[in-house]
Amino acid sequence: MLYEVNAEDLSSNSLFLPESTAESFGIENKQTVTLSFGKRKKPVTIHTLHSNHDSKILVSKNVRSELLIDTDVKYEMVYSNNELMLGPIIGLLLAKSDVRLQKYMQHYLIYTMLYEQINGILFVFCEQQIDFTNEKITGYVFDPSTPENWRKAELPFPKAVFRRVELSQKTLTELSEKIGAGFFNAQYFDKWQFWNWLSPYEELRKHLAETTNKVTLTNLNLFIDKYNGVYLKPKNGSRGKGIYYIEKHKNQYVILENYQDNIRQLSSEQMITFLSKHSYYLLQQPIHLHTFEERKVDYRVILQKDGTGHWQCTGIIARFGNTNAISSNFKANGFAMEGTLALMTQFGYDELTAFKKYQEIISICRKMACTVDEIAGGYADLGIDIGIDKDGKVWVIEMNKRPDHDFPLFIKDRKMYYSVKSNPVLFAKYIAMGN
Amino acid sequence: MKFFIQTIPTTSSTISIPFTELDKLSLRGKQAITIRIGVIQKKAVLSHHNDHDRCIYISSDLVKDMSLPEFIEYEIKIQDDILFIGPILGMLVRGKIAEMNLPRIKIYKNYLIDYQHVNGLIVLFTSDGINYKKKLINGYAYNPINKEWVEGIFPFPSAVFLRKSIKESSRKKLQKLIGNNFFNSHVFNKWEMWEWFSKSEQLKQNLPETVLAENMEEVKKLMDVYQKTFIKPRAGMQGTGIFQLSMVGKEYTLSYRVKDKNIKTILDNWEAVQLYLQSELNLQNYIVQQKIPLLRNNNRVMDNRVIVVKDQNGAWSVSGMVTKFGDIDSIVSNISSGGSAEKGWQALVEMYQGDSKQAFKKYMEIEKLALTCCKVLESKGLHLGYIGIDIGIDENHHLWVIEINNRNPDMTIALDANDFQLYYKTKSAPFHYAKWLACFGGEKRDAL
Repeated sequence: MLYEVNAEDLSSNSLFLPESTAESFGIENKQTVTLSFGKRKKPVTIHTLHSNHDSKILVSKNVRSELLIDTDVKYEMVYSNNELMLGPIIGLLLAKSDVRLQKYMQHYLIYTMLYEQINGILFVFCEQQIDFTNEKITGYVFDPSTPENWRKAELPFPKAVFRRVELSQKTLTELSEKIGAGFFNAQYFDKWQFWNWLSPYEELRKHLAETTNKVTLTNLNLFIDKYNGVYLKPKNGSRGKGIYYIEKHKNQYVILENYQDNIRQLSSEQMITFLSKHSYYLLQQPIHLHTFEERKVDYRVILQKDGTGHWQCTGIIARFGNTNAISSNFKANGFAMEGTLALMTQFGYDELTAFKKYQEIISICRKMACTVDEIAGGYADLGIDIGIDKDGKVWVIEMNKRPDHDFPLFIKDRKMYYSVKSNPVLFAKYIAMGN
Repeated sequence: MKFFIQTIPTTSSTISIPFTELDKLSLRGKQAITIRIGVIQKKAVLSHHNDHDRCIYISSDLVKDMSLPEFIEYEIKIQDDILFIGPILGMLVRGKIAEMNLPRIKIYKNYLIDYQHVNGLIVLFTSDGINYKKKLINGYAYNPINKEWVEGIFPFPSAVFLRKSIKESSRKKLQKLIGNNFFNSHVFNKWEMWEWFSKSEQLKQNLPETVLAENMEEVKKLMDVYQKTFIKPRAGMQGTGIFQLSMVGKEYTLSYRVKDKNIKTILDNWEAVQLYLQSELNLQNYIVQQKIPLLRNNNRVMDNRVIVVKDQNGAWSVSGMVTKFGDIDSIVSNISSGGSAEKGWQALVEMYQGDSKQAFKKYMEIEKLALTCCKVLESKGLHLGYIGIDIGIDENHHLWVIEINNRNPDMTIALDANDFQLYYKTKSAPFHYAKWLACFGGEKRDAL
């Protein structure tokens, strides 16, 4: 049921509710309830109204202005524990500045595809539009009745915020405090934290490449002795940039850099100097991914929470990399393929074996996502890179907190693409309406 | 972490767990503990060992009269100070224990294709294999190593997937043992469904108007309004026994299908219709429903089978959709009546002539409608683990709930659409859900 809200000259702090609605909620005439709108709330007196418009509710003007109720969209209502919730109110933190926000406005429409299932306020905003003093945000509300589909409006802090852009530490902290658990994909973490958080769990550790942040010659030798070679990676790098692979031949270290043709040979002394220039890097166990026709293959697992409130796999996309790169970044001369099909192609699996491997991959990723949820706060949109080695073992390489949403387009899967964009919004609604 | 269980022939009422597990389960220093295996609960002396960190020893007096197969890996957890060993899950099937043999029960292994994420003891049994008093079952346990069933006496499971309908008396007995932890036991007919759904604010606009066939006056009214109706058996499935009644001027045509042939009977007036139906059909078993002008594709009726399952988190989730096309000029879109099937998404994209945005919106609208149906059924006290809902689209792209297949819905429809992944996903769902019911579900990890 959808409701229209009108603000009228009524005695202050009152709310007129259609009789049928009041009855279904079990609210009595003249009862005082807490009306909540996003993070704002205030007590109001209910007046039941016998009318033909059973989808219309009226509030006094002071209620509208104090709660910042937007009267141009239709809302859903939920009642429990004496709280009447009008919503949902969902904020999408998508751009760095108002200028950029306005520039990409039409692109953001993709997040509104399922608005008919969402209702209420779905808005986009940027850091500079947050007014912490007055606890309000000036954002752009999705409103299909306006020519541009977006309308500038003053809004209360929402119950659910999806972050997908850089933020200053100050804003991050303050907003986390204000929004709480409904602020999702809020915290970013690097490869070292990832290892540090998950490696204590035996079940998870066996799917992770051993990692250390102490980049010393001793550790380098330790890794090389153990694994015949080692990766030197930046903590925050992505897309295979700045990754070195180091081996040792007799007393010489051999260094290969991803996407570079030159091979460097260093002595121990030179290696110490080289490592000292990369002290903020990580040493990592190399995983020998199963190759296909000499191409490295890895899989992007799109793990998202949806309207059920739980982690689901939206899809898996395999990348068949450039024949001589040390990581499987397919943008440089590679190609992509749907996950199940790729498992069948790469390993010669039949449908059932591919299904089982697919489920195994999802199960591992879900466990890791749940752990990260517990340690670092709520996430609902992750891009997890996994690899499968020669023995068919699954390795989790990386977890992206602001994942590239365009992966499904590389395999021309529009349905998956729209799902990727819609799921965080469906999840936000689940959060905003109190589950 | 998964454990093997070894039974030690002593009467010391002792359970011994690996030393490394004591801390993980916060059991260090405890002398006694309550253990629970399926529905069986016993007090035990708690001990520990350093033999093998994946083995649990249980003295035989604790598992008297039953076997806990040693080829199975179990999960353990502590809840309310009770040590749970499991999951212990069951599947109740038709027939008698004496009639069961390996070739006959082979088909049930299809539900265990994703056993790797279930673990524990899965017991297949018949009604006469249940010993309510001792809380034991004479049945077959799944051996994941050689993928075969093994006969034996096992503890009664904590959650049961029903592959048959049961009597009210059995329902009460089950309820006493495992509360509400059994599912797919309810069978309802089309009329019950209509009565429930038509009272739901969210569903009534998606329901074809329906009346009882015995009430001929109502049927006449329906004919006057819609000119075309379907006469359907209340309990029918797969489009069998469906008649179409159409009115042209004063004349009526009754069409139906016999052996892949479309047959038509012309009746001169309403009295003739009434006489015909009353003599040919047992009208008490039929409903009459407004005919929805469903979209057609090259003169083939199409509708969507939406497969909805309870997932590993206990939430309703749409696992996929298959679009069915009827035989040319057939009144129904059932595959068994000569139709074919296609993946739901593909069919929608074709319907919208390649406009994938429109197709996606419609797809999600169908999902939402299917989920709403499930929620209404659940609010009526029905505990279901998976169902197939037929949703049709009319010429104005409005959605209609045509039918619900709740009695062991046939999931091979996914194979008709060549969607093996959907078939496997659906087949493996009931035991993931059962595991969740048994409180062994959700995501958990063990710290080192």
